[in-house]
Amino acid sequence: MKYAASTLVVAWIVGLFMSLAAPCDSAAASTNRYIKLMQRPQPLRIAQISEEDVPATRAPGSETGGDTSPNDGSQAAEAPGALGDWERLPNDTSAAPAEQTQSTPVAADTAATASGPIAQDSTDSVAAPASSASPAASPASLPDSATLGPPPALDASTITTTPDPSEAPLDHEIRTAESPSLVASMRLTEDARRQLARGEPDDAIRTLGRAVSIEPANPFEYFYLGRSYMAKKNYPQALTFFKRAEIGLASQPDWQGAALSYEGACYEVLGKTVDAAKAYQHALAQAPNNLMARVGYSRLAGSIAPPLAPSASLAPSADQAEAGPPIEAPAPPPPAQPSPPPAAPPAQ
Amino acid sequence: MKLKRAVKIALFAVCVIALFAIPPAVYEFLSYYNSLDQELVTRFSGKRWTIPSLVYSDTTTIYPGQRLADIGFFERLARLNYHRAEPARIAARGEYSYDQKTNRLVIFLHSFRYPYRDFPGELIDMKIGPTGTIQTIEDGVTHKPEYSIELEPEALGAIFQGDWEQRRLVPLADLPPAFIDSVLAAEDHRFYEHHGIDLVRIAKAAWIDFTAGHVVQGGSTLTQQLMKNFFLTSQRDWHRKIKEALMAYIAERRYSKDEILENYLNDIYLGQRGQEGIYGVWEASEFFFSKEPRDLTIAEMATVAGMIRSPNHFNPIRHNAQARIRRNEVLGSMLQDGYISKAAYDLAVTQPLRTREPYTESNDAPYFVDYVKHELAERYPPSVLTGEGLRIFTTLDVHIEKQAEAAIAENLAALEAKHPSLRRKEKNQQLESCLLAIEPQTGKIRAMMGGRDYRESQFNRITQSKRQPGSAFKPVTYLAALQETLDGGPERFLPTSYIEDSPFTWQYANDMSWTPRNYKNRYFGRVTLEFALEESLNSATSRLADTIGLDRVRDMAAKLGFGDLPPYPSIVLGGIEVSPMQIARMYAILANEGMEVPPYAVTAVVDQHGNVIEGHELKAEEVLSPELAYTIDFMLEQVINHGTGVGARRVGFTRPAAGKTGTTNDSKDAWFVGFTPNLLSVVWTGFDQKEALGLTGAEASLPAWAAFMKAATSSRPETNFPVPPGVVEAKVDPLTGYLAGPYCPVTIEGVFPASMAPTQTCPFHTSATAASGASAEPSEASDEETTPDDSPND
Repeated sequence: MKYAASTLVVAWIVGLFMSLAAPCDSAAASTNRYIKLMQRPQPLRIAQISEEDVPATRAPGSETGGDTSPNDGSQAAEAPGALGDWERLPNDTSAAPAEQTQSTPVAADTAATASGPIAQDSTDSVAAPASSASPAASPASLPDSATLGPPPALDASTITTTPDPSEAPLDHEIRTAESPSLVASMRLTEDARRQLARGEPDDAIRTLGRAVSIEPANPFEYFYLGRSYMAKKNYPQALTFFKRAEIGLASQPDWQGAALSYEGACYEVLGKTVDAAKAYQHALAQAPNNLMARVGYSRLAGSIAPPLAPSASLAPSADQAEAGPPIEAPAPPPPAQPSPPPAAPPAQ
Repeated sequence: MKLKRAVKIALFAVCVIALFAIPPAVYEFLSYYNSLDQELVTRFSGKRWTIPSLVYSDTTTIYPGQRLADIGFFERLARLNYHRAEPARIAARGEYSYDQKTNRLVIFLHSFRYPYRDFPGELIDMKIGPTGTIQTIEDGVTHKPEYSIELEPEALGAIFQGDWEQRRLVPLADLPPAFIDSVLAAEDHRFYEHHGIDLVRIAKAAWIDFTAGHVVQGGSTLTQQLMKNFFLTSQRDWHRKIKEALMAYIAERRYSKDEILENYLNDIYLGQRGQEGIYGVWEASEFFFSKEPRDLTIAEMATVAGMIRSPNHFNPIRHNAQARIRRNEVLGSMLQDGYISKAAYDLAVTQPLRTREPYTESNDAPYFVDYVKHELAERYPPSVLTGEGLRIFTTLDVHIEKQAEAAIAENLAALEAKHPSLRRKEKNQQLESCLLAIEPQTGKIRAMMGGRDYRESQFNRITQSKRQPGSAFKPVTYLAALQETLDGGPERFLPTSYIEDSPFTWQYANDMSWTPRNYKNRYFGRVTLEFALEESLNSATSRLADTIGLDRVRDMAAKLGFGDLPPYPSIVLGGIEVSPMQIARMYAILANEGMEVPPYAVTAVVDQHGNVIEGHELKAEEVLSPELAYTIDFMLEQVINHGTGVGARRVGFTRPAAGKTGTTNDSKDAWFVGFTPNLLSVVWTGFDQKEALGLTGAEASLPAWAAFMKAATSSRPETNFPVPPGVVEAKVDPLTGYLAGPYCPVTIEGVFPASMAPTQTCPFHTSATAASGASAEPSEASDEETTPDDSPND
């Protein structure tokens, strides 16, 4: 009798636990909603990704797994149009399987739907966001992902992102500057960087104006002019200077990636989602670990065609492939002038 | 009895008159007193002086690695009134020493208030290398390394109406007490004891004057002098004297002694520098001793104080002996009044009176100052501009301006010497030339020579003259063609693409036609675009414009700031009228990777209290893609390397540069515009009366451009134009269009958008063809050399 009573109590407790397990369905559904949301272009509030917040200051661990979710989810929730998306999602996701009851769907779904590179292991995570996606993986094919079995365990420690180089002192650039004028202008640029960090963009612009006058070939000046104007919320002007900086930063992928990712951010604020996604994409091609580009691209990837895939890791996801025609590949050019030779060729 | 009665009547009459006359007289006096009081209060509480606006140049940044000679360091110091002292004897701001044995240059910088930041006036210690290169810069006191220092801006001129009264207001608290004491000892040692009128002093002065038989000494107090300067004339009559005394009395009742003294010290006239009057003790200290009042010695203070009585007679620069005698008198008074000790007196009277010879050469840039004046006149009323003491900071670099002046003067002299037909007797009909230099990336106008001589003609040809640019306009057509290629248009043009250069008639507007001709009627057959621009071929350029359509050229011109041009084919060869400023603006876009930063002159305007009224912000706008801009830059580089602009190389200008000549019909206008990666300049030469010059841009303007650019860029490192991503340079075989192989007989450098660059090496020229000596070309191949030996077109 005593044992029977104990058995009943245990059975009751088990039953209680079983009934409590039911919300897992809604958790999975929420995850799916989030994943879907991540794949839509959303207006970006620049304050969320502007100079102070996003780029370098996040510790790598803060972006894993739930990582992207809190960050981007919160952005989405704050963005004017994003809340509407959340509200509309039940309709959008009506086709999502209600039977998904796996208790750990988050990692699997994230991995399967290419919502971002962050939930992947180290090998894939350094590639472009779409790279971690299986071609078959899309929100619409989530049931398939469920059949893949348990996802690989997430090892957050292996995920790396590169700090925004523009947040750090420019000591290295000053040391390696090749000419006296470049050294002088780099030092002024460093002054401007500090002014910017102190929240003095107007002073930074003046300082950078002096730096440009000393050495106009220094691309860092234009980069920080871009950041200064971004801080002043003059995004078209910021964009112009980031583009100008890009020209001189070709040999420094991290910096070029940073310039491109800031370009992406400017485009986003200006409502040019496709341009923004492309800028992020190019940024990732230059600096695969650029956090801003990864976050931005993961949010906007759906709005553009996938990147060319020189390797498997850069293969586009199926949903991206559906989003539009691919970016034009540089076709092997014909000879510049296949026409008949001239009668009177100019000499050199 | 009768007399008694008469006296009584008279007394009665006087009483009656007094009874009726005194009240109105008192009333009149009180009214007069009140009006004087009002006048005084109005003047004291309102604007006391009309202070002209001063125009300043840009500051100069000095950093390690610069050669002193390249930046005109010592010339700059001279213009800024720095004076050389013996090593280790630098005591005051404005002094420097250069010890060539130890290679140390020590300079005590002036303090200066600049918009948003102040120059504190530090002691700086620089180590100079054997070639005159700055090796290190450090703080002279703390020995902390400095990575750069700035020299304060140079005064270029003033904007004023009537007389130029130059004064800088200084509060009494900022003046050293000894300075005030010296003025009191010299002019009014009982200042703090009287009430505006010093009866003791008047009596004493009257006695001295009486015994001397003429006026030797005045009895006016400081307050009276101030009243005279503020309200009265220098006329010596009793009426003026009484009014002066009355006003002095009123002033003393109304205002404190210190207020009156401060006004006095800021008001007094102390000499003349050209058309500029020196007013106030600050300006005098600065002008005669290159020091701020706080840095003056007691002897120097006494010198300034002694000048008050007769500024020209006791001018220490022109009349050193008299000034010294007067100084010693003042020192004697100071000793007598107990302001200085005997020891201080003994030391001061024995000191030689050393003044700083002020920089006398005119350092203004009159055309530029006029330009600034006109620009500001659109935003400020004349009364503000001429009387509120604004300080206007500009972009001009005086050193570069001097180089521009020299380049223009030397070129004009050389042209007139070589071509006597260009000489004119009438000054206003002389050959003219102008030069504008700007930094493409910042838009700063660094030099502006609006004409040959401002004294002869104030007409600023940079902004006011509209002349045809000729071939200097041709890049617009090439840009339009290249743009069409980048846009994926039906016609594809690259620098290595071919175009026919042969006589050509352009049919337009149904029944109109136009036949451009090449210079000297020389035609080259099929040529690359690169070559056509390099040699400025009119026919090829017109044909290109016809191929792409005139509207595309007009659109490109509008994009580059020329507005809506008429739809006439002649515009492609520069058949429009533009100012040198417009041409510079267009080329600056090309020099700045396709981004436009409009040229500007005014960096900031500051009011007399140091508040920034307006400031310039560096902004840019993308007008052309960087790929397009780089491609045209590349083509324009070939113009200088081996085209019509090769003369620049011949005179030793070797750094990477791009440019274009321009000559109009009958050679009325000769242009050269070109740029390095960090400086652009445009030179125009011609007659204001549009007479034929008979010279091309390469002959008349290029020499001045090359001389100027050589000098002005000497302090900059030699850098190449930055190659934007998406552009590749390649050596191609122009006969086949493939990448040049080792056996290709002719090769040219080309620039291509990455997606259009040839990737295959020429298959026609191989070792076999080279060994056989046979031409690898298909049937029409020709080895004919067409290298022009002169400039076919311009």
